[in-house]
Amino acid sequence: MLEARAIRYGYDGTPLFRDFSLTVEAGERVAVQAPSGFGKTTLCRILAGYIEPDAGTVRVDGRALPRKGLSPVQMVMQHPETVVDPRLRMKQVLQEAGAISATLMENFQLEQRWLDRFAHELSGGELQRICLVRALASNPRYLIADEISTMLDAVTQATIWHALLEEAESRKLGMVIVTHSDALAQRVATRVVYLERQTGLEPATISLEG
Amino acid sequence: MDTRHNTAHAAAWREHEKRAHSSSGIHHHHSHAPASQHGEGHHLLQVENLSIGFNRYEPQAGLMARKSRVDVIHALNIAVHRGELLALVGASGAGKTLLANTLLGRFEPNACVEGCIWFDGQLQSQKTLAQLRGRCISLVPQSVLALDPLMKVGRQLAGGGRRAGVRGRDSRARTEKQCSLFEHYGLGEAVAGLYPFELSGGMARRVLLCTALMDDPELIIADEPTPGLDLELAVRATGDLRAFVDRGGSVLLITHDIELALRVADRVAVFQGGTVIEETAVENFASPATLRQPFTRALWHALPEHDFAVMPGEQGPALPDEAPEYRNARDRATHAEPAPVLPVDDEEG
Repeated sequence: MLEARAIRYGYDGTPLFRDFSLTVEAGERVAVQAPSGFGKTTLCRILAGYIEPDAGTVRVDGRALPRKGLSPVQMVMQHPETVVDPRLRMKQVLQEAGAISATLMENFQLEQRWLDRFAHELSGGELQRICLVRALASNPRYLIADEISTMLDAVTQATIWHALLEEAESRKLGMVIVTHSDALAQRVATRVVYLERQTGLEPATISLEG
Repeated sequence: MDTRHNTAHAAAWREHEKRAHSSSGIHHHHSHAPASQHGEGHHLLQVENLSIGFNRYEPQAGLMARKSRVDVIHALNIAVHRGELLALVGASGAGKTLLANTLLGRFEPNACVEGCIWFDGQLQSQKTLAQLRGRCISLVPQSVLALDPLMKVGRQLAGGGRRAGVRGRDSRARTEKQCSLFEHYGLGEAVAGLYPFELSGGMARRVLLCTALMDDPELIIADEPTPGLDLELAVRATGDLRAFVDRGGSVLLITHDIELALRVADRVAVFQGGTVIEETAVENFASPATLRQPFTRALWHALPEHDFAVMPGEQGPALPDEAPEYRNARDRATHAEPAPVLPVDDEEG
């Protein structure tokens, strides 16, 4: 269980979240929807351990996120070009998470010839698939997906999500999915959380079946 | 649409329309929308038989290896008419951003570009395209990395003119324009004083859109201007591109978001495998049955609003009735059956 409890965080004293709590069970896929500028990416970074909250805790099965080594919570970001070293070939990028899994490569339709390329020689969609495979290669328990398919065309979006949902099902992977698209949230999530701009928020949650 | 051309040339243009274009369904590899105008007898932007490749060394080869060429775009034709919004919709990896950069004269050092690019009737070179950049052709970039990370965004927009030699009253006018643009897009006064890293993804995209609108260009190339915006703002952002077109400008809107593109575009060019496979009027997207290419239909079906389906064999005759075995995510999630290998986009690069 990924559990964020009583999270407080803000920039320059302006609180973004106060008493924010969210629980994601293993195998559950929670879509988070909120207006632009709300702080969704910040929330993702807190859940993935990139940012230490001002107050509150993020725990996986009762344990705090490790400060070193592979985290059981991995995050895939909106702009893949910002999270890949531009001077590494894709082979080295994938090896950052350990051995390259041929199965994952096949599931996400990574082509062998991409492995010798640099980030600027791939499109955003191709690079995003590299990032997904890198994140999944470390066998995380939870995956935070921050607008991972907004820059992709519809066919690639559907392809990636089919592959990702399949992986999530087989691994009992818990997911937090940030998306602007209602239609996409309905398709991929098991639960949708709508966040509204207010202080001391306890998010209104709407449960979807299945 | 003729009301846009209230000059003495209007009649001549209409005559040209009658003779050369209106009667023919397809010319220059595309069909027309009602808004498509051939001002002064030519397209505003015309790209013919464009190929872009990269010269690179084979990583496994030895020291004396020759360079080899990887083609990303080949035999591409596309035309933007005056006063129209053309949406370029297509698969990732097709090279849409590469095309945008090429049209702006921004070539990678190892790029190899062949073909013809005409702007306003003039054949262009890399140098002349670079000269048009920011004056006649403006870009709304795809990535927030396009912003200068060390400069507050307000100065970044208004100050663009200072570097180009704009001073005094013009400089103040630019600042005012920047302020009014920011206000229009719901960016508060405080936003002008922020650095790019302080912007959320959606705010950054609105700032990028404002940068293109600062210089009143003839053609705006908008490279994925809407992801990260919620629907209401996305509609407004593209609505402003539409307004720019209705004032006589032209827009090449590069996007994967068909639904949104269809709300504002006159025509749609479908990009796949490094080339434009179909350039057609928006009306033909009302139903998959009126789309000519299998991939175009696959795109329609893959939308979450439609089937969220990955069609097997999208190169084949993939009408929905003929391909009932396509799947959607929820089926797979609930049944968790072993899945077949998904079809590979037939990408060139």
